[in-house]
Amino acid sequence: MQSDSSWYQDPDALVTALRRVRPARPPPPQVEGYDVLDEIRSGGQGVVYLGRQHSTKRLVAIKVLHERAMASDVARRRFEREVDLVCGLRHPHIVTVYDSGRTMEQRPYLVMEFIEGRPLDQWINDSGPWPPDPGTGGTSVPPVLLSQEVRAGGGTDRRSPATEPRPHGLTSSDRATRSEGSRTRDPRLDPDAVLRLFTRICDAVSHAHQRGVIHRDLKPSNILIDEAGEPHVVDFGIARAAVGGGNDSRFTLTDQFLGTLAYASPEQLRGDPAAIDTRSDVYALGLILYLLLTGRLPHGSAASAAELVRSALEQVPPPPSVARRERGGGRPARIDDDLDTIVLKALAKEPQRRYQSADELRRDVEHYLRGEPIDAKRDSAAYVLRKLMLRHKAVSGLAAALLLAVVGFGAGMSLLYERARSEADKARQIRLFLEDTLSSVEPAERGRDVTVREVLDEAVHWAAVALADEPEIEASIRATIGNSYRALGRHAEAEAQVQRSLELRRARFGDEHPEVAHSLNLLGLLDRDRGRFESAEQWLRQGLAMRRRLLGDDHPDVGFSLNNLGLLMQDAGRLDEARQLLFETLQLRRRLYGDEHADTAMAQFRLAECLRLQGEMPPAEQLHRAALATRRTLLHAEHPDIDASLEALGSLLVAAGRAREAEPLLRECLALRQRRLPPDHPRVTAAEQALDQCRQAGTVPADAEGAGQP
Amino acid sequence: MPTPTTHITLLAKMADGSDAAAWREFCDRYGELIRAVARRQGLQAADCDDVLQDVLLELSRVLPEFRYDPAKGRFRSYLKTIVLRAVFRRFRQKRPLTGQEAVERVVDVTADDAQIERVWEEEWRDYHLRQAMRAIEVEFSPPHRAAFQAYVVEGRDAHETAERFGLSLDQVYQIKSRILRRLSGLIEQQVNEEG
Repeated sequence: MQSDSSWYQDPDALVTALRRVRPARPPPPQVEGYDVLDEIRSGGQGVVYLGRQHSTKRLVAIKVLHERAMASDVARRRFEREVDLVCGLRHPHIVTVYDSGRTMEQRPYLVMEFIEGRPLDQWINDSGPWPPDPGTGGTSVPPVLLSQEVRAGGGTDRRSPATEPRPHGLTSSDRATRSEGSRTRDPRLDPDAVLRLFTRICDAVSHAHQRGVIHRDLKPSNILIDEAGEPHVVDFGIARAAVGGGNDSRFTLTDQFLGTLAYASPEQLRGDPAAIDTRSDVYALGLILYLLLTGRLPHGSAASAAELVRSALEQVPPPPSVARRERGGGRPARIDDDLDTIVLKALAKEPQRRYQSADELRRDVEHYLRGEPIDAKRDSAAYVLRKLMLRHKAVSGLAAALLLAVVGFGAGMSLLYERARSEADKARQIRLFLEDTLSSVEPAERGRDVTVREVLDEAVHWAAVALADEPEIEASIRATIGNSYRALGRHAEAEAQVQRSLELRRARFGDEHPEVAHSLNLLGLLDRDRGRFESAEQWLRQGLAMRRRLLGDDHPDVGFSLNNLGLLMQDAGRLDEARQLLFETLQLRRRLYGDEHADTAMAQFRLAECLRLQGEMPPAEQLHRAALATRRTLLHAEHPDIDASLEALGSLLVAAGRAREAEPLLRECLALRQRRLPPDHPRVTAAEQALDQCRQAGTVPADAEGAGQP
Repeated sequence: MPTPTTHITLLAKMADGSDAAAWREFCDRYGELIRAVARRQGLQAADCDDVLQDVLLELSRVLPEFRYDPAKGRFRSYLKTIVLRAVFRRFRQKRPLTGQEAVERVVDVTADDAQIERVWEEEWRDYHLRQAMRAIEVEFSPPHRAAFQAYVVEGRDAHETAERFGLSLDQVYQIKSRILRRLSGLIEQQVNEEG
C-alpha cells in the first residue's frame, strides 16, 4: 500500500514536483557568444562551466548562478551593481570578470578568466611548506584537479595534450591543458616564498578594496594557485551579490555557510552587518596566513561548530609559532615573535585593533621579509589581561546564539532518536533562520515578520532543553534572544530573557562581573525603549559603574555605557546631561582609537545631534562634517552610516537657512539609499522628504520643473 | 510503446550476475537518486560516485540471496539502508578532517532521522518523475515537450508559449493535460511495480 499517492495523482501537486525535480543531466546553459563546453563544478552559488568565446576562441570559465539566489528585484539590482564594480577590477592576482548577462534560460551568468590551478587549501595539502615529509623532491602527488573552485567532478580525459610548465609568470587564461601525470613538489616553498605569495594575495584584495569592493567570503577555496605558483582570487563581491538580497538566499546558504563559517570574522559571526567592512577581509587574510604558516586554522581543531564559533569570538588564538610546534613535522619552524605579532594583529577580535587595510598588512609582511621593524605592536600587558577577563564574554550575536542552540539541539536529537517529524522540521527551520541571519547583509532593513518571532520562541524553548548544563552559554543566548525580542518590540519576552541571563550570570560569576554588567545594560536599554526612563537610568548607571570598576575608565564597553546613558538623557529631554555624557564618550573613543575611527565618528555624530537639539548649530555642523569625512575615508562607499551623516548634515544646513549647501548632500543621500534599498523603504522616503524640504526652503529650484526664479 | 523492464525483472536479471545490461540500467535508473542522496548528506561529487560504486558492490553481493518479499518491506527501504550505510562509511574513510570539514561534519551528524527520511522521500519522488519523463520523451514530439516545459514547468504565459512554438492556445492546454495525465499514470504504474 502506498502511504501517499496524492503527489502524482493531483495535477497541481505533480506540477509542483516537476518544477523542483533536478533532471538527470541538466542541459548546459546557452550563453550568447560562447560555446559552453563542460561542467567544471557545481556549487552553492551556481555551476561553473568551461566555455569558449566565439570571437576570440579563448577559453573562459562561465559561472551560471542559481536563479533562486536572486529572485527579487532588489537582489537583482544589487547583483548587477556588484558585477559592474567587479568587472572594473583588473589585477594580475584577481580572476578577471569579462562579461555578465543572462543565459537563454534567463539565468544570470558571469564570464571569467579561466585559471587552471588548484584552490589554495588543496595546494597546501599537495605542496604546502610543511608536509610531513620535508624536502621531498620529485615525488608524485595526486593528479592535479582541474578546478575553478574546488574540484572537478567526474571525467578525467577532457583536456589532455600536455603543455610545458611555465617557468614563471601567470598562467594565461587561454591555456586549458595540463599534464595529468606526476608533478614535483614545488621547491620554492620555503617560508619566505609563502609570505611572498601571501603578499600578492593581499595586494589583490587591497586593489579591490580601493575600488569599493569587499570580498566578504575570502577563504582558501576562493584562491586559485596556478601552475607557476601565482595566486588568483575569485568571486569578489559575489557572496554579497548572490546572497545579499531577498528571502531566497537560503538556497545558496545551506551549501555555503559552513565553509564560510570557518573564515568568518567575529563581526560576521555576530551577525552585525553594519560592522562588516574591509577589515573583515583583513581578518580572513589573517586566517589564511595562519593556515599557510601552520597548516591549520587557529580555531579549526574545535570539536564542534558551536566550539568553533565560541572560540572565534572569545579565544585569543595560539600564536602561529606555538601552533606550528604543536603540529610538528615540516620545515624548520621559523616563526618568530614578529611574525606571530603580525598574524595576531590581523586576527584581532575588534576590527579597530587589526590592520586597517589589506595594504597595511601587506606592508608589514614586507617589512618582516626585509628584516625591518614591523609596525604591529604587541598587545600591551594590560590589554592581554583584559582579554583574559573577557574570555568568556557573551556570545553576543543572535546568529551565534541560535547556532549554539541548534547544534545543542542536534546533539540531543541523536540521543532522542525517535522524535516526531514536526519537531525535526522545527529544528530545520531554526537552522535555516540561523543561516539566513548569519549571512544576511542588512538585517536592519529586512522584513521582521511573524516567523522571526516564532523562531525566537523556539530558540527560547530549545535553549532551556539543550543548554541545561551550560549556564554560561545559556545566559549568553538568553541575553541575545532577549535583545532580539527587544528589536522586535516584544518587551515582556525580552525582559524575561534578559532577567534570566542576569540570574544565571550572577549565579555563575557573582555580582561583579563584566557579563553581569552586560545584562544590566540590556535591562537599561529595554526600559529605555519602553519609556521607563527612571529605571532605565538606574540599570545603565549600575552597569556603567560596574564596568568602570572592573575594566577601568578606558575600555570600549565603558564607552558603550556612556553612550547609552547619554542617549537616554537625550530621550528624556535632559539635554545638558546628555551632552556631557556624549562628550565623555567622544573623548574616551579619541583616547582609545584616535580620530580616524568609525566608533569615534559615531560619537561625533551623536554629540552633534545632541548639540543640534540644543540649538548649537556651529559646533554641531563641525562635528557632523568631521564624522562624515572620517566615514568617507574608512567605510565602504555605500555604508549606511555615510548616508545617515549626509542626511543629518543636510537637514542641519536647511534648518540654518543654507539650503543651497544642503542640496547636494541630500541628493547624494537619496541616491545612495535608492541604490541600496527598495523604493518604498522608510529611509528612502525620509531622504526624499528631506530633499523636498530643502527645495521648498526656496533657494533651490526643483531641477525637473525648471522653475524660473533666481 | 517501449515497456521499460519492470523493476522486479530488473532485480532478477541483476541477481543472475551475468547480465551487464541490467546493471547499466540499474545505474541509469537509480544512479542519480543515490548520488543526490549522498550529496545532500554532505559528500563531495567524487565521493558520491564512490558511494554509487559501493552500493553496486553491495547489491552484487546480496542480490543472489535477495528474495523479494513485500511483507518484509519494499525494495526502496532496502536500498535506502544500503545507500545510507555507504554514505556514512565514506565519511569515516575520509582523510583527517580540516577545520572546515570538521564543521561540516558536525552538522551532518546532527541531521536526524526525520530529515534523512525527508531527503530520501524527495529524491525518491524525483526518481519517479525522471523515470516517467523518459517515457514522455519517447511518446511526445519535441515541440510538444518543449511547450510543456515552458508552460508547465517554467510557468511561462500560455499565449507566449503558444506563439513561441507555433501552437494554438487550445493545443497548449491540451498538451499540458495530456502529458500530466500520462505522467500520473506512468508514476502510478511504477509505484505499483515497486510493491
